[in-house]
Amino acid sequence: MLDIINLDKTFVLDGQETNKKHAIDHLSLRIEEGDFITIIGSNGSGKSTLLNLIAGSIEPDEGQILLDNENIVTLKNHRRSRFIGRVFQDPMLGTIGDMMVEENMFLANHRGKNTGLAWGLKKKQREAFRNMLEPLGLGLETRLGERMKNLSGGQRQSITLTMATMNSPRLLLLDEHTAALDPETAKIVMQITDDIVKKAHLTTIMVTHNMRDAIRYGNRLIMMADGKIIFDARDEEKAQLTVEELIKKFSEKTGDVLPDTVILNK
Amino acid sequence: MKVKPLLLAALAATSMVAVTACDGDVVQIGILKFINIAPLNSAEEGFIKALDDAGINYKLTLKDANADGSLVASSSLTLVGESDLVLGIATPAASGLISARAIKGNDVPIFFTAVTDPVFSGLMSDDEAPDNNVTGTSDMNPVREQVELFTKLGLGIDKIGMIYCSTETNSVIQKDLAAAAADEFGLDFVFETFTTTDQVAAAMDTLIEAGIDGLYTPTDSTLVSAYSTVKAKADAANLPIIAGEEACLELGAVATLSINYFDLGRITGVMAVEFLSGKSISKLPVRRVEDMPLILHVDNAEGIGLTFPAELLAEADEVIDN
Amino acid sequence: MNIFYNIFTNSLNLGLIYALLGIGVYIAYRVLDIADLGAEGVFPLGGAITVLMIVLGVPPAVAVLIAFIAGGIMGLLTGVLHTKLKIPSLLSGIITMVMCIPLAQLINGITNSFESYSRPGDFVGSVTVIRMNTIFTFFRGFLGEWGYILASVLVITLIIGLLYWFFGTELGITVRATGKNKVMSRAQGINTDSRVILGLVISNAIVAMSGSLFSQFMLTSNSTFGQGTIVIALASILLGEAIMLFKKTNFAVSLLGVFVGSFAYQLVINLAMRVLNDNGYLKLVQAILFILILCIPLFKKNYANLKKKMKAKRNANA
Repeated sequence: MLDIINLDKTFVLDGQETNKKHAIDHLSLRIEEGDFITIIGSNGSGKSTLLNLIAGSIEPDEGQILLDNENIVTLKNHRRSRFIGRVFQDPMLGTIGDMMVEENMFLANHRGKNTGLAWGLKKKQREAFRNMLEPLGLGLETRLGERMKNLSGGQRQSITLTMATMNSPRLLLLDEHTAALDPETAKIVMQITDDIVKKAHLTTIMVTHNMRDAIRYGNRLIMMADGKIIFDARDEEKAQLTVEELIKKFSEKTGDVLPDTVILNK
Repeated sequence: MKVKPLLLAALAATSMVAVTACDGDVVQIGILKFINIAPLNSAEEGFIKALDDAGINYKLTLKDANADGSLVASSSLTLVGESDLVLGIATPAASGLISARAIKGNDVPIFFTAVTDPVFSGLMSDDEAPDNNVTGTSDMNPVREQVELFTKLGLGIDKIGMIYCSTETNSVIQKDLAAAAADEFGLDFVFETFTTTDQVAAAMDTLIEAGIDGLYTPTDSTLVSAYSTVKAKADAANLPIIAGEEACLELGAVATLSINYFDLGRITGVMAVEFLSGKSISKLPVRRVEDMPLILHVDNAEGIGLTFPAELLAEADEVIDN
Repeated sequence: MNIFYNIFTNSLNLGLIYALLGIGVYIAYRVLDIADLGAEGVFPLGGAITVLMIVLGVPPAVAVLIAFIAGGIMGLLTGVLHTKLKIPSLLSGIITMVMCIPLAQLINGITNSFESYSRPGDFVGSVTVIRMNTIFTFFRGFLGEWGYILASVLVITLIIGLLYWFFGTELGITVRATGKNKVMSRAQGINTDSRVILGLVISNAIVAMSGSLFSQFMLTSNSTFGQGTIVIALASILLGEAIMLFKKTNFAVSLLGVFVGSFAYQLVINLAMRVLNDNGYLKLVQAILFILILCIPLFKKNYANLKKKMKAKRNANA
């Protein structure tokens, strides 16, 4: 469904030609329809860069990204976003704080459609939005008229998730979307994520720092280092993984030790 | 709508209060000066002197618009609403007062001074028989007589050039007058314009290349601000400059027939006094200064190798020789 | 008595006209979060076009509409410069302004050449047409001074109504979203470039309309009328936000706030003008006033904090 072929990206830091970072190193990856992939790796391994390349916020130096055999590398990111849903780590980024919940949801709902001069928020739409928020169990369906900035981080991320999955995207990208939340809230949001993905059979890529979550959720786990994929486990092999094994695997493959931030994030 | 009669009643009440609240014979006079520069300040002083000389019992409100359109608007509305007579110094002030009067809907007489051509500027349609309760004095400089001076320098000048800022309405008027005068005195005439001061040098170059023997500079505030450039270019080509206004003599011109702005203001004041004494505005045509002294700047002339002929020196009202 | 009446009506009259200016600038400054300095050129351009149209015999209301469209075109220019040519917004606005002023002067020159007493010049700074037929003329007939106020009120109500409707439509919501968070908007598939251009078109169209009203008010088109309009617009917006005690609930209320700020600003200027004998200090007063207005949110916050501290102290002592 998503074919990443020989993707390569190098960043020039501070404009100095001598200070380069080879963020993605001739990476190839094949993702099947319905895969729920978790990606782990240390900082600088290229996880976020990979998501950015898929989403279209940056362009690769080499390589192709084929979505259902169509190369989307040349597609601008606002066009790609019509079929790619994305949730960022920062709860502020996924929604517009100064606008109301229903207005934000309108924007997500409107993604990919033609914009005209019809009245934006009709009664029917409000009803639909309420129905979408109710299953989250956070009581948000009564707060449509409130501004997003008045909600907590967890509430915002939940709504962002709803927004990202509203129009049945072909691909859902989650970029450490619970990392900025407290452990309790993170657990709730992860549960909501899992429910939504399972219910709609969404093809999902989730970058996470939390190895337990990486093992627990999804059907496939990928470990990245230095812009390359160093480990790829699915289904049963993945289900039987433990955190200790992952740490060991990492040292084997890279000769490095995973930093404490990753290990302690259980 | 029930509001209208109520509003009209309120309006009537307040204006009646206004009338009775004012002292019987103190004349409320409002002066709006467009910008604080020397000629306009002199005109203001002259106007006030004329009022004092005639012993008028007045209360003065002075406003300076700082060349700001919004201040012209609010100052005009204020003055027109609360004065028995208003004076606008410079065209924008005068037009501001006129429009304010149209808004306030009263009949306050409007005087103006330091306006070059009130008809061209749209302040009135007939400057000899004013029909819209507006009159005043024009500071139109004697372009014809100034151009004539070129023939009196004893240099055998046969081609003159003129430079001016094309967005200054008054300069455009002076250009037409200068062209006509040049024709009358048998001189060839060319002109160059600019819109911003950085274009002045290039315009001067064009004129000099055209082979002019003399340069005429009109009353033009933008030109004045770039006068040093003009003077430098003229000196390099040994060109005598005849100026439209006295201020340019210190800046490098050799001669002019000048307008005394204090005098101009004073004449305006005299007209106002005549009005207050009962004369109708329609009987007060636009006036100009009559005395226009000939001033010669010997130093500047020497600088380009010119010695004034004796007859011209004898005619002069003032000779600057340091 | 007369003086208070004058202060009130004069401030209201000018306050309304500058409120329209403020609303136009508000669309760019607050909704799109773009500092568009083009207003200083578009304002007099609107006036110049209006006067020419009226002199040519076009009905004043139509002349206002034409000025509106011309302003929109200028907004298009600024928008394209900024989004397509990647010129910083500040510079784009300045470029538009620099183009508008000579254009206005050219139009003034044409106007002047139609008037019976004219001599055609290429660029004319200012042209006055005393017997101009304006949109105020009809209302002045039976309401005098208040006719001007009524006419302005009608125009502003119409514009606020249209804006309120527009920003509630699908297109309008996407424009607002673009102004709040461009990244997020693009992530929602919105073509932010076209929205920025649309917003600037609307903003400049309204500014040109306010310039049109102003020149009909002053019976004059003057290419320098635009000077200082940005300051007046911003002061009106900020003062309005400071005065309006409601939180920003409703878009229409925010726009109304701009009018309140504009009226208040004109009141202060009017009062200051009377107290100061020399208007020369007025510009200084305007600057100080502007700084004070900018500081009001800070004062509000400090006052709120102070109240909290006092309350805590009282509770601790209890």
